Amino acid sequence: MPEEQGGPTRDSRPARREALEAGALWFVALIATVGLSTGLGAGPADAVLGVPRWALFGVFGPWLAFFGLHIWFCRLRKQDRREP
Amino acid sequence: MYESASSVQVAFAVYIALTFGLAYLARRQAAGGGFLQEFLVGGRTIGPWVLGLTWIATAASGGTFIGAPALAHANGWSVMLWISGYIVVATTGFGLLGRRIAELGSRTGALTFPDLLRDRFQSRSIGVVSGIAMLVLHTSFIVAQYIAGARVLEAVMGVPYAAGVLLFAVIVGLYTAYGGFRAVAWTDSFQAVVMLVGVLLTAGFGLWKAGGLQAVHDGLAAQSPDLLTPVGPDGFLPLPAAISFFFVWPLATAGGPSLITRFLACRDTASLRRAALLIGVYILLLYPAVIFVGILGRVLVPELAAGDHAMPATILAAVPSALAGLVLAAPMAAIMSTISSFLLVAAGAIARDLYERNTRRTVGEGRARAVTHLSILAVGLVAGGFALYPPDYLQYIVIFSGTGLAATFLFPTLLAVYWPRMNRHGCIAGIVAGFLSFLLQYAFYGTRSFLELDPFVWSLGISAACCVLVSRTGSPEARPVLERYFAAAELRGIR
Repeated sequence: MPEEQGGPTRDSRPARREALEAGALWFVALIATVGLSTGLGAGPADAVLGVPRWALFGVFGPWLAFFGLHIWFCRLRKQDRREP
Repeated sequence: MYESASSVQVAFAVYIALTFGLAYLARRQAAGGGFLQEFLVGGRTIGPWVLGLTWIATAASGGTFIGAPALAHANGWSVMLWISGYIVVATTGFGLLGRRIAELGSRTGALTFPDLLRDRFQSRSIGVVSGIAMLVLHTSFIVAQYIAGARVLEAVMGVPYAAGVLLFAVIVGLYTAYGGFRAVAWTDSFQAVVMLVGVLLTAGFGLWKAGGLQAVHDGLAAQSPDLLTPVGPDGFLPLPAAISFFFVWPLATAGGPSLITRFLACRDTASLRRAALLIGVYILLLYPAVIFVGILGRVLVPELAAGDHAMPATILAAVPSALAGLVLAAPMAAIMSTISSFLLVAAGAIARDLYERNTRRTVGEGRARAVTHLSILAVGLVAGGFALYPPDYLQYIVIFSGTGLAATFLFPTLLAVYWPRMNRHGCIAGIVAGFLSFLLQYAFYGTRSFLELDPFVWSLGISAACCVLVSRTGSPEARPVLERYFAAAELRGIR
């Protein structure tokens, strides 16, 4: 990675912080999506705009929310430069 | 065979010609620096757009375009929950290992995934063991892609299944062997665009033809109310399976060697970050639409000659014939881009990890080229042979090989690059335990292991535990080796 001053770093801690944050986002998404979908799916099988309620609020809702969090993660948490 | 126009065949031919044209242009752009460095990682000059698109084109396979819509056709909306782990695939795929692997690749000169592990632990046996495991699991993944490709040709053009397998093997083998990683990355990028456009067009035309979302809902309810539930017909997705697949997609993608190899080829960490952003948008658009096409297919084409015909049959039923050829190129693109990437990794495992790094002679460029090309031929032939005996739903092979790779390699890789105390014995224990526990669970319990969870979930835990326990019982690697990988502050307490 020639553009990084000092060349690619040995220090694994910034990358490890990113990895832990990505892992935490995965875990929260798991709880939110599976929890909401199965919870809403246990009720009456009604639809909103032709989409089953559990899919709309249990899958598409979290998908949009975590897309926003992904943008935040990439823009503000991932860093380009490692060491001077 | 479903009804199709001759324009479909013409569009197919144009698409294949464009793919070969791109492979030719890519080869002309070769950066130099040795045959294997150029052939396996494109000279480490891949920027954000190509990196992102080749990553997603590799991840989105025949399983995504043929297997998943087939399951959606059979099981309705429950498959939307089944695939929902893709919500965080871009985050985990780039966040868990991307940056660290890119930095280490650049620092150590690793060309393949086993190179990384072998050099970190100074162990030839790790390179051989991981090379063999990768070869076996990648070859089974390629089998699934050949099946998918032959199914498309069978459904659309009436090409006999066996001839379709042969045709696919020859076309993709040729451009992969000709252009190497750079050609694969360029053609992947083109194919990723074709995939997205094709799926969005199909979903749009299909929705219009079906009469809107409410009509689709009513059509499914009339066939079976279970098609509208999160569990699906015949208990397709009980809670443990839903949890399992939220492990499968994000973690299997993050731990797949063919995707990790992409990070070795990237130009810099800025490219990684931009590619991750791009992939987030791409996945948000692609995956719900792919599953929705399968659901639509259940209303538009309720009866199929084979389960895996759901996608091509829906395209032919929904999309105007003038556009159908272009749209049908989407599943072809997904399949070809994945085969080429996996062929490259499998050939790299033979040429670099099993041959070049284990021979005492210096391997000249001519011999390296010959061994690599012969490896592509051999893997293509073996995979083609197995593909002649397809299962009912190819998605099961895709899941088996994809999760098998991650069960074998995810934790050994994570701990190797982030934990200085990890040693070679712990790495081998993690690889072997992950691989064997996965195979044994599949052999004895099928896809539902203890507590009805997928074997992948347990194998991940077993692999991680073996890595840690075995490493704890021995000494870390020698300090001079560790100093190549970790900063001094991380090595306190290690002599």
